[in-house]
Amino acid sequence: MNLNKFIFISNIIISVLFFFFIFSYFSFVSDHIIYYQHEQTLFLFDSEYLYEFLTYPGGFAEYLGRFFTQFYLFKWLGAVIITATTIAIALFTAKISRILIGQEVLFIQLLPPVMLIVLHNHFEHSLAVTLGFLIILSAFFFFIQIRKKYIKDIYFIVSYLFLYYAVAGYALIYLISCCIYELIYTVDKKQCLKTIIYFLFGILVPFIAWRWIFIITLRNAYLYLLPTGIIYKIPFVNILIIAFIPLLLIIFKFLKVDPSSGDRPLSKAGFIQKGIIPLLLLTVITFLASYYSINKMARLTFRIDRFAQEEKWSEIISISKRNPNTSQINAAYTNLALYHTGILPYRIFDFLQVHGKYGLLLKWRPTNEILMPGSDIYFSLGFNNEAYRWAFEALVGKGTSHRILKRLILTSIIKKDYKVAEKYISVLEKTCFFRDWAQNFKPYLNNDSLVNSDNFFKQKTDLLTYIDAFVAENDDNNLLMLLFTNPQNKMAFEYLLSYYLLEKDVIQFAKNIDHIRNFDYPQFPRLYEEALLIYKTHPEAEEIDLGKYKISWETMMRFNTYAQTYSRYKSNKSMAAKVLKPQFGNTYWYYFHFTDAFRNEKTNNKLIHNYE
Amino acid sequence: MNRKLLRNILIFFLITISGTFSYIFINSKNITGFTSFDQVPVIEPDYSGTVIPPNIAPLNFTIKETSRKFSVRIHSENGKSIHISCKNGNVKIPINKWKKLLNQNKGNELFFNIYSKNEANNRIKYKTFKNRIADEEIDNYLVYRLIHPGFMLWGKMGIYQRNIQNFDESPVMLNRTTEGNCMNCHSFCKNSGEVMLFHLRAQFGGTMIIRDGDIKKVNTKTPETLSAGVYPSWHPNGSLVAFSVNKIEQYFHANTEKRIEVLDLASDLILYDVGKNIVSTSKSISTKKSFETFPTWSPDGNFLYFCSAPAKPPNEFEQIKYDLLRIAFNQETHEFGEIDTIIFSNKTGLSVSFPRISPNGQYILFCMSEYGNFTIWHPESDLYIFDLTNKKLMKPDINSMETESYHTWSSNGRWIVFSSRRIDGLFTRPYFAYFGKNGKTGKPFLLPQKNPDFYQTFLKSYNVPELIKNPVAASTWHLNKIAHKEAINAKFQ
Repeated sequence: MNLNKFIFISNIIISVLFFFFIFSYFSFVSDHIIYYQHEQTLFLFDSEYLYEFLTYPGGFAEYLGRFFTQFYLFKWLGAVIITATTIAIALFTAKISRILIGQEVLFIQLLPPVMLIVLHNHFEHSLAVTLGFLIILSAFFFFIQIRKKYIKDIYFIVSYLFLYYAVAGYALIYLISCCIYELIYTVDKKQCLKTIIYFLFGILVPFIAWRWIFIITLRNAYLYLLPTGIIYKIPFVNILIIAFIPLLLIIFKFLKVDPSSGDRPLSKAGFIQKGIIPLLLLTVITFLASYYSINKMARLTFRIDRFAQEEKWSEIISISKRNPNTSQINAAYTNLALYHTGILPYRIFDFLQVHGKYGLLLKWRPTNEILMPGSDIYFSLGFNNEAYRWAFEALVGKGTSHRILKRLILTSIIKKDYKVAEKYISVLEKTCFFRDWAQNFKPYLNNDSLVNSDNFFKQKTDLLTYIDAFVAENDDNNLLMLLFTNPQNKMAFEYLLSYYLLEKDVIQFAKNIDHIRNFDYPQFPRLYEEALLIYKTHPEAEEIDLGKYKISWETMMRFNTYAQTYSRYKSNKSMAAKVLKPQFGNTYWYYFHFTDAFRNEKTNNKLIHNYE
Repeated sequence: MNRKLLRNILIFFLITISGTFSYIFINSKNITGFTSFDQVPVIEPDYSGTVIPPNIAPLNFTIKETSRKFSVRIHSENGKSIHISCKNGNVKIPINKWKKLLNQNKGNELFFNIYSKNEANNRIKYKTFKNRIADEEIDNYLVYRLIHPGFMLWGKMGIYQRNIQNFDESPVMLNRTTEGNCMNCHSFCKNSGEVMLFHLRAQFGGTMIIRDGDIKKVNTKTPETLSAGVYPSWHPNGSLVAFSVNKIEQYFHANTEKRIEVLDLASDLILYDVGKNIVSTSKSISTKKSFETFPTWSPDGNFLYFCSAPAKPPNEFEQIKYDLLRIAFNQETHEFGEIDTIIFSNKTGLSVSFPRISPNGQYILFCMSEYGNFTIWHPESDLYIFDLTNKKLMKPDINSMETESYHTWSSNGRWIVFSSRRIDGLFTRPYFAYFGKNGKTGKPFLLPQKNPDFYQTFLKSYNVPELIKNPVAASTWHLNKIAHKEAINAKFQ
């Protein structure tokens, strides 16, 4: 086998391995991106839905992106789609190279896929942006293949107009690429004038679109869909993608590659220079890009979010234990998981509680990320109106998603708002993958007896508050209202007490601890014992009779040990914290004395997700 | 003659003959061979038994009956009848034939015959339903804001104008060009698209005013007034606007039929002179002890009507009930005179909002609800009419169990459009109703859409429906250009 044949076969093997790597990467390492993207979008088979995308340049690519994103429901299919786009991009790059320099350069054709790994690793990078790049790459490939001048001109005008409408800002990259190609790859000197005309035409089209045709901003008329609005983990990669084709043209021209060199037999030195070194370089770049572009906090957050949707509470607890972090939403989901696994009154302080009450019940903010988690918590609590409100606000702020619609359907049926539920069902029926789910709930519409006899709905309906009051700004009042309506609402009880624990309000804790008589705990929860022991040190403390629940001897002994050590280091708080942490770090006493929740609104806002 | 030519001639004849037969069949007045069924079919939207304007777009509807195939024949006294066949029950009426039929039959009745064919090929004819075509046209355009019926947030939003003679809808202003800000309270002078205003909020804050072919953006907030102008009303002379200025708070119900309360913490009225860019007020319309809101001018410009309630804290929200008042206005001196109470809330037990005077000055159309003034979130809110000539309060037969709220008169006073949540209790839709010379109203009907199932999945509300005779006299581009400029500050006098 000669070297050329060997290189040819090696290239195929390398390409296959490379794309298998991309597929595996998005299937197993960066699968959170696929989950998040799918959670955020909804594709409807509906003419009105399509029409909305056709009212502005770039809408076509977005529509296409949304169409493919609906398949992200299956993470392997999502990985296949991302891999397929990168393969298509690599293929067109190879074909363009073949036309320009007479040979395909593996290193160059695999460079855009590496850059796309970086871009796709940002959770806000939509598939539409990648498709935009693919579309102009293919259009440019056809452009440089045309030899007859007048056909080329017609093709340019028609394709440019179409591209502008389909991929907006990317059309300008196509324009620049065509102009550069015409200028430096065509021998005819008259091309210069033609290129100027091309350029002016291309620059004018977005202006006309902005001024007379579409309702868009001037910035969007020129730049929409280009990956410019997101700060990627590895800087300038987005710029490199934007400039890729023009740069390729310039580099190929100035490298002065001999078109026939690709067919000549390679020497050993040439093999190392053109085969081994680029391959090693590519491998290093790929691994570095894959490693450094991943946002670990986003990955953790989206995994916790996914486990919460799948009600895998133990998974959330173990992932949070392994990865303590300051994200407010993660804290809220962790606390929800602690409740659902029955260990909230025992182990809440095993986890970082730096957000105080906001780590329990998220504070309402006009921030999209917080709305559905907030709705989830209220839905679990049985605070139906709030669960609906937060979900609807998410729909308004973020746009429709299957998760939002499902919540709106369930909360509307619980409220017996059947006509509203029917509307959301009608929307979900227009999707490919959630039609059946939606149709399952149709029999419940206008059928009170079916709703009342269904276990899930009955459980939720029993928790509904009948009190006609405004939702209070202080969450403890809301929890008290839920508990007053239904004294058996265990989550409201545990959340209320946890709320006071986190707020270090032992007086209110003691006032409300007697609700515990309505529940059958195997023993008095440890953290409640610890809080009561602190309460007893308060000058206004009163005797509380909790029936069968008594503070254990063991807890009292531990408290004595804690108090002695605390008193010993009272003058040196940081030393006290250091000494007490190993033995008492997960006690309420330690939280009470040494943990300060973030009180600063700015910090709180920043730490909703804390992706950075 | 070769075979190919022969074949083409044969195809041509076949097409011609089948076309002729189809034409004869479609235009035959009677469909025969059916069993009559003495029941009107269920159709959505309900376009039966109503009075319609002769210039309305086709009333497309869906037949909610089970059948394999439907045929519909629409006919009247004059002109050719319209035949439509459909399998899914979606009846889409050809617009040109519809227009022709309506124009030829002003004042006549319009009949709808619906036939269905079941699996066994048996034909059923449902009971015919009819509508009356009024003599009087409705204003050609309906302007509304499309917005999610949300609580505090907003997303994509826009003010649109719909040509109600057909299905053309075009944006007047979209917030995608102004950083997604809020926009609201579009208002017109005497149903004219040439004199208009609306507010922009947040980053591009200001009131956009279109008048005399000019657009300007003003900031009507002055140190002396509570806020920038909120609810507007153009004086018929087109140079003055009365605004309410409000301090508003929102509260959310924990669990009742209602979802939100929007309450005034303070509220006054101001007068804005568009030409002079001056804001003024009077002690009679700006008091601390009362909440004054929803100004509206009488068509002659001699009275300003408004709602007023004794100021109460938010926790007494159920006791806040608005009266309907009017105050005399001197158009020469711009001075206000005597106040007169038209509707006493303590007599009706209800709270008044959104008064609108008919173009002939005879009727006031307004909402009444149990308390407060933000009626869109009050399912009990209904429309009422007060006859100023005989002082009679009437409740027209156009209300539903759900919210009826914002409403406008057509320029000829023969039509009203109003917001209603009657379909599902949440998403607001615009309904039209004929308003007879005797004050009697026709059955309300929904704004028709090209796709009759449109409203089924449309998740936005039609907010503030306003009828105008001609389209808005400013392009979206021009409005957008001015919106990006700094607002001109109004002066207080």
